[in-house]
Amino acid sequence: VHWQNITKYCNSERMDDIQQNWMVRSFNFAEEALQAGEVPVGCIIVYEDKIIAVGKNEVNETKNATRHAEIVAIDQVLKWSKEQDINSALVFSKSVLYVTVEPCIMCAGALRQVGIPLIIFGCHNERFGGCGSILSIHDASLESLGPSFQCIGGIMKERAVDLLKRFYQGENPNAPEDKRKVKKDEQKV
Amino acid sequence: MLKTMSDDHPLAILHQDYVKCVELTDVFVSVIQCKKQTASVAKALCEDFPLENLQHLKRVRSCNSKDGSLQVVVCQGKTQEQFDAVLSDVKYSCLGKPFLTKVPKLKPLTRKQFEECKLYWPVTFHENKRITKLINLSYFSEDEIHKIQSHMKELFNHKEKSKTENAALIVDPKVNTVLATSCDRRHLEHPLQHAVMLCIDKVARLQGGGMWDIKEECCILENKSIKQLEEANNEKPEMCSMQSAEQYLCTGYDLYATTEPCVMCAMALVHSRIGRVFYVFPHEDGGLGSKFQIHTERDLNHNFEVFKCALPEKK
Ligand SMILES: [Zn+2]
Ligand SMILES: [Zn+2]
Repeated sequence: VHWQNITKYCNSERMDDIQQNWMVRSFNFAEEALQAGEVPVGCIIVYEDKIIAVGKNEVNETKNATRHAEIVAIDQVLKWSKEQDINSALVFSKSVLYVTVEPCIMCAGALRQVGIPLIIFGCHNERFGGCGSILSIHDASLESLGPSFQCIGGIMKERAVDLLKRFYQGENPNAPEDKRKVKKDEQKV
Repeated sequence: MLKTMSDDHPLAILHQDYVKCVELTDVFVSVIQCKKQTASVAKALCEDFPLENLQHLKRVRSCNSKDGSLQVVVCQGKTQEQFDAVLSDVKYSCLGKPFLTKVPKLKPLTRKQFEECKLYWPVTFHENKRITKLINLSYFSEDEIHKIQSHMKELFNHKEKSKTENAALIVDPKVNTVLATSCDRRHLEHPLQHAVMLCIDKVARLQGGGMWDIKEECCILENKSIKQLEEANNEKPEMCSMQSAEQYLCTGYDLYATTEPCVMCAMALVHSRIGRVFYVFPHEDGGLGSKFQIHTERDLNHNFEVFKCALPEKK
């Protein structure tokens, strides 16, 4: 059923406006992340035309490299569903994720597992992207992980790139000196 | 049957490049009709037609035929018309009519590939000792294998006690201490709480962070680990990396998993800069060997070693 909804959604004339509006909201959280010295990525999850979860990168804060914006937001949907006493799988299956940067390979795997059918993202993620840039986890044959999802990229990408540039120019203050630069001579197996 | 050491040696999951069969490509080859001119002809060809991506090929080979005639690689990726003009020069007068021959496209990375390449054309081979040891199952010492096995045994004991499908464990190999253990919780209404994700988060908690507040009974070992670490800290403070500011995420740590990590967990381990991964059961959709080899993905900023281990024996 939700696939039909998405087709309707994508074909709507107001689509550009709607996407833009939700994406602007995601940028608020990306800006917050930058302020906090985190990689500036922000996201929201929209269910039945309302925001039920938001997320920003919290890797340095939690000392957990997996605390990406999408994971934060997924946690919130699980919590929200419990509070509302609705089946979380049903909520995910009718939700759209707006995220300022293409989800990484890990988050793409996570998104398949919760079953979000549609992801709208800003710029591509040249370093870790899991929706086409490095690997295509969103539509790879990975049945045990969950259903594949559809992606629409490039929405407000300039703003997303600009934020990332501002971050990487400043460098991540929490990474040790030798880890900041990508070492090309690292042993590859 | 008598067990040898290599039976217990973990099996490295290498980049596809080390495992794949030899790929072939076409080059033009000529017979050298006057052996005396071999050196000068080969030199001239190297100048006129450098073998750009085929540097691993030896330019000249002796044929198996009884007269011991020699053959030389003329060029690659050209049409007959393109090189005919050059070959009409008198310095090439001793070359026979060029014909297409299949040769190895890439340089051999392993001895096995080297042997296979030689069936087609002589090539140069620079052996990588580390790769050879990984393939020959002579990479780990007996002591190291013993340590790996004992951690694996501990992991499976933990899995059985917790009665879950998957379990994971993180070790600091420098002090041979278990830092965190976890078991799968995705059945408990949290689809992302795979054993590996939980284990990474427990390490984060040991470092004063953490994202999931889980009060689970299934981590009895953890308190023991912290105690061990504190003891190690008192005895040899420099050995306890956990509390030191130097430690960054899971750098230098080993992860043990019962089942091959999924794509999400595999990438979580990249982000966490894990040192090595050991698992027992492959998974058809797995991210570290079966469906993807995320640990060897050259475009990523961190790669690590992955080993498949034997199921620990029950006492
Ligand atoms: Zn991510
Ligand atoms: Zn997993």
